[in-house]
Amino acid sequence: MQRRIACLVLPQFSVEVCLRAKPSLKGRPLAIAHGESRREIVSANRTSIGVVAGMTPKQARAACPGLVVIARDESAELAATSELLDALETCGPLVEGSAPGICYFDAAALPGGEAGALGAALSLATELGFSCAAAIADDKFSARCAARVAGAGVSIVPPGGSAVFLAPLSIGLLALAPGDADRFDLLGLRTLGQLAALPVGPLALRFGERARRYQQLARGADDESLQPRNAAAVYEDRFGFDGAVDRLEPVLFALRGCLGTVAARLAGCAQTCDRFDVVLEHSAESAIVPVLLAEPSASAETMFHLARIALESREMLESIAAVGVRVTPCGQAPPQLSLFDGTAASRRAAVAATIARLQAALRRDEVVTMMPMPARSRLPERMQQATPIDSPQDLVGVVRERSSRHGALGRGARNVTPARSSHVAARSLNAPAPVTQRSASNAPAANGGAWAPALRLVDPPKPIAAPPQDSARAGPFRLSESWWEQPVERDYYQLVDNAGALLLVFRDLRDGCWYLQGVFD
Amino acid sequence: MASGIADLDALLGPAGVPRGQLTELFGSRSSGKTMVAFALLASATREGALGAYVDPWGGFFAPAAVAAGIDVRRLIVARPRDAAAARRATDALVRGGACAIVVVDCAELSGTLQTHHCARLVAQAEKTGTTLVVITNGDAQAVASFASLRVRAHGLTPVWQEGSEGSGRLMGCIASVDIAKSRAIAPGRSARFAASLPEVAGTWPC
Repeated sequence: MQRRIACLVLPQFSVEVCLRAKPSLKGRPLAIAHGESRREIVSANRTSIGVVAGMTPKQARAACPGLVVIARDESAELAATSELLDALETCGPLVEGSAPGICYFDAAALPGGEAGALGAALSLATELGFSCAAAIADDKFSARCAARVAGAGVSIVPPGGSAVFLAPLSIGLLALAPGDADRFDLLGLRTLGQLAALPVGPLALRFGERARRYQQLARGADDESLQPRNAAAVYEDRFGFDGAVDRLEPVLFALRGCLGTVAARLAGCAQTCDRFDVVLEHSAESAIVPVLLAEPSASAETMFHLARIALESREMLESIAAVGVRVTPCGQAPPQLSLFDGTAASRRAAVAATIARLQAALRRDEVVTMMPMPARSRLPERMQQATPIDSPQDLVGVVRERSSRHGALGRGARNVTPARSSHVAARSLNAPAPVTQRSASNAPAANGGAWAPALRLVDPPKPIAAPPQDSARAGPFRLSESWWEQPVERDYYQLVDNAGALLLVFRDLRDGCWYLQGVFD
Repeated sequence: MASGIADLDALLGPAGVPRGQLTELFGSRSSGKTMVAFALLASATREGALGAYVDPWGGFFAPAAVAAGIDVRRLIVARPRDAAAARRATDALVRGGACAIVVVDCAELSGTLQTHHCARLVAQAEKTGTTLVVITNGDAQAVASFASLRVRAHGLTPVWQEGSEGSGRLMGCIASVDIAKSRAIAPGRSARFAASLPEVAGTWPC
């Protein structure tokens, strides 16, 4: 479903809150200064000619004789914001008051239409004594910009038209870091469209990681979701047993109820979580079992299934007096349901479910991707790096769907001549050398492809007896490194042992012992 | 699915390695069974699918996997600490359905998969279409009975290159496999294929 967000901008919010408390000031030049010491003007009404935000009160009075400067009342502003949000809840199901004078509500698929919703919101704000501008767009930033440029009326950015709408607007609408405005100016970048047209890589190199966010906003692709009001920071539920239990079934039974309650609360506030804790209360202490979800979810069934795997893989079910669930919302919008198989969402969900199951069953460092690191070290045990998989995004791209695997892999790939990986370094010989085969069976060489025998690593290397001198072998390959910390000096050999196994062994030159490093299999 | 090894694919015929079923690769130590498993993983990941390798022995060597053509960015490596954890990891991978192929290395952990484990995994693999490949040393009776394809690896015959002053170099090896059990083709057929050894970072081969 297309995301549509409505934004109300109240430019005179602080002044109007003050006037609600002190109606006698109506019609007089009025400015609101921040803090008890009133050092900086933050807002002024329209009769305060010459007064702008950022002035000191002295400067403001000099610009506008007769100006009344009032200290900002933040508690009154909060109360007014709450009152306005209460009223806006009649316009949309999800309402957010992110900052004083800025309100959002979810305007997707409203029965009265977008124009009707904006008109109703303006009427409500006017009844409460606020003047405002309102706009609807696909994302929060575009809606806020549209409301700001709309003046006192309403503006509707058509679906998918955020980038076009934002293109001519000033780059100053972005919340730029200090100094960035000047740097953009020096580069001749004035509008959001100019910024959006630049490649993100060079921009990030020049401005840092925040440039990606700037460009995301400038392209009308703000992915920040609405934050619901009155959302709890932590959701908890607990079930106490009549007597201590030491079996999994009653724990799971109680846990299902707790997770159902917590998930309903999460879903009710349009929130999700990406991890939760199962708390097992024993007679004297508590044990916490963390469960990772791999993707944000508020599904009780998913949470229960992963919790069951996590509990089954741990042996801590002794004298459990109570079981509880503690969930901290992650602030991300719930993913859309994948209604039809074969969509990218369903593929991603399958990967996420698999990773979540693995993480529940194993420890974090036991579910990894292994990358070769030949530049790091020449020692086989240091020549690779294991990186824990935390989310589906860690696995490159999106996995192809089963249908394409059944087709392309099953039929097309059979006729494709296997090609060597481009990762493999090849060292050419200076002069072609004749290859001779030396084996016990003297078997002739078969027609071959170019497939590499797999080395199964033995880590740490296992001490072995010195191999016989007459064993078929290649080497030595001298390896010396890490002299600055743990010196390594080894002579590596590839040899065939008495059982006919092809091994990678080395003789440690420091202690003279032989070690098994790997088995070719 | 195809293994990508022309001689082995010719041996397996048009059916190839069956999807959604259990395939057993067995043989003694250094017989070439892991090489065949790597070829299957390479074939799957090269097509953009996700693969998984359950490695309770801790013997997975990424440079060798890359040399075999595996896209290691598309490979989940599970390193369970014991046999029970290996079973849980395998169950999670097969049941999840995200992986086109799951390779379980049980060669060093005999008795990892019993009859009821195999029955459950085979049912799940059939449901999700995941190709389940189990590497054993040949004594896993339960795996053998549930496998729809059993490939026996006979051993690696090294190919040496004579060097100067008596120092040689391992250029590669000849692998030999045969079909011990198959639902699609008659057992007993065999194939031989050559495997050349890569060099890692141009330094020394391993």
